[in-house]
Amino acid sequence: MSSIWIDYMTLVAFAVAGLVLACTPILIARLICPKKPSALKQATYECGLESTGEAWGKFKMQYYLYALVFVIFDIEAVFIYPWATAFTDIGFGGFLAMGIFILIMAESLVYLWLKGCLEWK
Amino acid sequence: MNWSHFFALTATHQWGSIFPEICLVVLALSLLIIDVLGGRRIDRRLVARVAITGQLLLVLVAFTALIGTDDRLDRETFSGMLVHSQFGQIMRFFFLVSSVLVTYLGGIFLKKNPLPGTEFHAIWLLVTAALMLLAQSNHFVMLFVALETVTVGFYVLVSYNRNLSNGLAAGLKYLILGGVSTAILLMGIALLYGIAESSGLENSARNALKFDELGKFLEFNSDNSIARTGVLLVVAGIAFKIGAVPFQIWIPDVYQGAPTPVTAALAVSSKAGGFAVLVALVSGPFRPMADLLVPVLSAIAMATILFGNIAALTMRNVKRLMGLSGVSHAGYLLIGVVAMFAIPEARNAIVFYLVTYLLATFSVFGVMAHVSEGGRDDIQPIDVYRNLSRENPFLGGVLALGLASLAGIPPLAGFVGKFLLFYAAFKAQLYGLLGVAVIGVVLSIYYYFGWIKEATFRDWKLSRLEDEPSPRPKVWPELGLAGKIILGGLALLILLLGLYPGPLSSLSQY
Repeated sequence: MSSIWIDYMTLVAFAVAGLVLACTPILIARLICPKKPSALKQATYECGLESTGEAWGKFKMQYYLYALVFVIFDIEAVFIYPWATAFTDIGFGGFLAMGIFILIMAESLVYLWLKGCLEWK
Repeated sequence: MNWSHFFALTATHQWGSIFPEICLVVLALSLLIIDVLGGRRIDRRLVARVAITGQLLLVLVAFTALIGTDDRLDRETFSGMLVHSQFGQIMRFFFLVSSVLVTYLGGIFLKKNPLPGTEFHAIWLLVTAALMLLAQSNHFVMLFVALETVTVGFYVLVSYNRNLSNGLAAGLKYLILGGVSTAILLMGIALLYGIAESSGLENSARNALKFDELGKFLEFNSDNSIARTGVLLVVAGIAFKIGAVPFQIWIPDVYQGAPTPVTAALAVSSKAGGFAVLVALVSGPFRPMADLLVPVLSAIAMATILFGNIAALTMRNVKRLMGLSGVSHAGYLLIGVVAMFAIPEARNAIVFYLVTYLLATFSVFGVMAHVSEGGRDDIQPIDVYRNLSRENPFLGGVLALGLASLAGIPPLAGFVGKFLLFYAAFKAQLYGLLGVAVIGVVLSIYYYFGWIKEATFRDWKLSRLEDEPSPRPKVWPELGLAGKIILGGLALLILLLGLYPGPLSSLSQY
């Protein structure tokens, strides 16, 4: 067996150990726990509240819109973080590049704002 | 920390070399700003005018760059992500011209249909910028990102007819099948990357996603089964974009449901984008795989030509007809791609064919955009065109010239395009493919001329029966000055390029 496969054996061992560690408590609990079901115990657990309605209900489109708007700031953070760590070394060019990038990002926010996407209707 | 590696990487970032693309993106962003700042006060047509004016300026700039300096060509920028070649410059110009025409058609479409207009133009400009980068990509990451930008833009544009159920169905079909094709392409890229950088094989590449390094690897490992699978999957992903059999199944429905200008964009720009990538790959990294790709691409080309032409025979909806005839044109172009393995000059024939295809397709779609009724963009039966030529000779003439050029009738541009392509195939000794192509052309004459007959000769002698319901509008649309110039110019170019193809065929000598 070549060395590359031996390296992978560590990974396999890790996966197996993880599986065993996760499954053993569930198995033990299932074996030794007392079983006294009641209507209350069998109910769906939903943060302590009684669950109502069906899971296939319709959601308002604006949830998705909000999520998409949030992505703007997500992306901004992803790029600004590495940029900030290198800020002192990349000079004025780097500053300018990030300035343009933030302007483009801000443009999309201004567009959404003025289009009324941030108002909950 | 040591940043010298970072600076070495960014040293080749020559932003000036992607000036047209940057301008397009800035134009798209400014359109959005004009829209939100102007609000309801501004004229709806202002945005379309700004978009067209900006693009026309860019076309001028790109044209001077096209006929100008050669010393800036054949160099890599952005750490080898892009390569600037003569072919890339021509395709760039091609996409810009196509973009102007789609914006013009979009203006007509939006005048008839009460849909938000600014987003249409802005997204289309972004798609064009991505297509231009796609034609110049030299690295699989660049290729993939550009292709995805194009496809995501098209997801929105295809479902723009959101009041029509056919439009939404088209958007959904394009989204799902486009996602599948992207996955196939990505799997191919991943396999190629994995096998080319694995150190066990000889000549393993250090930067396997760059086209030239992958090409060097494939030269020595062309019989590696993983590499062969990867190449096949990449070709399959591109075959979806150009609509080749067996990845053509989305074409009729998506073409029908998409707004007419978007259908034109799918037929011309998206298809040409796929071919630009295919030509770049076949003339570069995939060249050593000829023993695999020649039979595969030949089989695809034959099936595509026959399927496109036979399926188009029965179509009565002109958008579906154009879609399926576009499938057959992809087949003819694939013959050129196969011929490129034997004679690389076949690339010139492909470029010429794409240009003639652009001119003819946009003249037909220009007439379609004028004739189509607002709110019923997905239903355009061929009967609507009855007697178009007699009652509006200009539109009828442009339609007839465009269709005849698509069919390849001399002395129009389409004939010269087909001639150059078939001549290249003849020199490459692809006699079987040529036979199928000739059968395809003969079949295509039936449906192209069926349309011309409907527009021109339907009621030429017999007066129509009084009780027969007339599906066509009572009044044919008025063409503005811009419409006359654009459609007339396209028709004139079809004639001129057919009679005197010299200037363009010399431009594509490289």
